[in-house]
Amino acid sequence: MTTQQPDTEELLRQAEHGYPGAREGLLARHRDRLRKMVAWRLDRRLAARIDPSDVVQEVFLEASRKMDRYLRERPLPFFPLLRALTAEQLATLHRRHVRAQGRSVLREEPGILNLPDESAAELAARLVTSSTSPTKRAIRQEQCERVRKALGWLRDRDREVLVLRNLEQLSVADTAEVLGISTSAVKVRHMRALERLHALLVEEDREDLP
Amino acid sequence: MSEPLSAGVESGAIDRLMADVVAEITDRLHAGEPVDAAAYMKRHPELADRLRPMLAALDVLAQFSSSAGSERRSGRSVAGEQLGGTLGDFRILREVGRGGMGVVYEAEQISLQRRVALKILPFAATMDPRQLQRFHNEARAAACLDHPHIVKVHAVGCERGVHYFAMKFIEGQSLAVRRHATNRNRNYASIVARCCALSPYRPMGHRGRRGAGARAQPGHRSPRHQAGQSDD
Repeated sequence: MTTQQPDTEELLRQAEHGYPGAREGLLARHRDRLRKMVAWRLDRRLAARIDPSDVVQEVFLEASRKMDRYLRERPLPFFPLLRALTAEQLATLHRRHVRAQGRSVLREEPGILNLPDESAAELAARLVTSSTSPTKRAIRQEQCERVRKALGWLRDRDREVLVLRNLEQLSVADTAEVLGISTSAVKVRHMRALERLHALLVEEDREDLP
Repeated sequence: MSEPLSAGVESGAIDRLMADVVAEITDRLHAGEPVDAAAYMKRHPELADRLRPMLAALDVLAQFSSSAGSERRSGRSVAGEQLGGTLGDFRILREVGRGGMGVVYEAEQISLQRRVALKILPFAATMDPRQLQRFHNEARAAACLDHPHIVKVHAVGCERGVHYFAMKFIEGQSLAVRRHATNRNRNYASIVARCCALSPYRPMGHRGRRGAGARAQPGHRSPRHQAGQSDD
C-alpha cells in the first residue's frame, strides 16, 4: 500500500553489492502494481490477446539488463524507473500492433488508457449476481460509458492523477514519486481532478435529459 | 505553483484541509475500510458542500474500477463488500445478492449464534439522506409486519458508518432465478403479490418489477428477504 522506501533502499544497496536474490526482490515487490498499470493502459484491442503479466515479465527482463547502469547512476527512484520501462514496453506493443494492422486502427486519442467499452457489459454481467436484471446490467454499462467519456474529456494531468490514485490505487507517496511532485501537490491535484470529473458527469446528465 | 489556486490564505487553508480529507477517504476505500460520509460532513461542516460531490465522484470511480478493471475485485465500491470479518455483532460469511438498495450477506449473529441475512447499505447510498430514510423505513416496515411469507427483521443499526439490518436467513433461490427454472411462477407471483398488498408500500406501479429480494424455499411458500421496497 505505502511505499516501502527504506526496504527498497536496503535492497538497492544489497543489489549493488551483489547479494543473491536482492535484484529479484527489488523487482518482485512491484509486480502487482505494474500489472495494474498495464491492465489499465494496455490498448483495449490488445488487451484481449496480451496478458498484463507477460508485459510485466518483459519489463523485468529489460530492467535486469539495465540494472547495473541504474545502480551506478540512480537517475530517478526505482518505482518510477520501472513505470517508465513499462510505458516504453506498452508503446512498443502498440506500435507493433498498429504496424501489423495498418493505420486504420490508430486511436484518435493520444493517451493509451484501457477504458472499457464493449466488454463492460460482459464484465458487469459477471460481476453481479444471477438475480440481476438485464435492465440493471444495461444501467451499469451505461454508467461505465459515462465515466469513460468524462475521463476522456479531462485534461491529461487531471486524468493521470485519477488513474494513478483511483484505478491503479497508488498511495499518495507513490503517486508523488511517479509524477515528480510533492505529496501535498498530489492531494490538491487529485481533489481538483475529482471536482472537474464530477462537473463533467453532472453536465453529461443534464445533456441526457430529453 | 502549477495549480490555479484561488486567492486568499483562507481558501488556501480550506483547500489543503479538503485535499487531506479526500486523500484519507480515497485510501480508506482502497484499504476496504468503510467510509462514514455523514461523519466526515459533521466533523468538517465547512467542507460539506464541496465534499459531497467529491464523494460522489470517488464512488463513481470505485464502481467504474470494479466493473471495468481487469483486476475485477480490486475496486472497492461497496463498504460491506470488504468488511470480510465482522460488523458489530455479526460475522459475515458470504454475499447472497445485491441490488440497487443494498447488498445482502449470509452472516452469523455472534451473541445469539444464529444465522441471519444481513442487508447492508452501500457507501454510495449513505450520502443521500432520502435513501438512508428509505432503508430505515424498509426495516421498520418489515419489522412491524407479521406474516409467514415475510421475512422477520431481527435488528437494525449502524456500525462503523455502515447501515444494516438483520433478517431471518432463508435458504433457497431468489425468485429471479426461480422464475427461469420453473413454470410454477404463478403461485410465487400470487404469494409475492399478496405480501405486497400487506406491505404499506405500493411498489408495483412506479418502481418496477420486484422479486430479486424474494426467496423461494423448496417445499415452502415464499418468504421474502425484503419487505418494504423494490430492489430493482
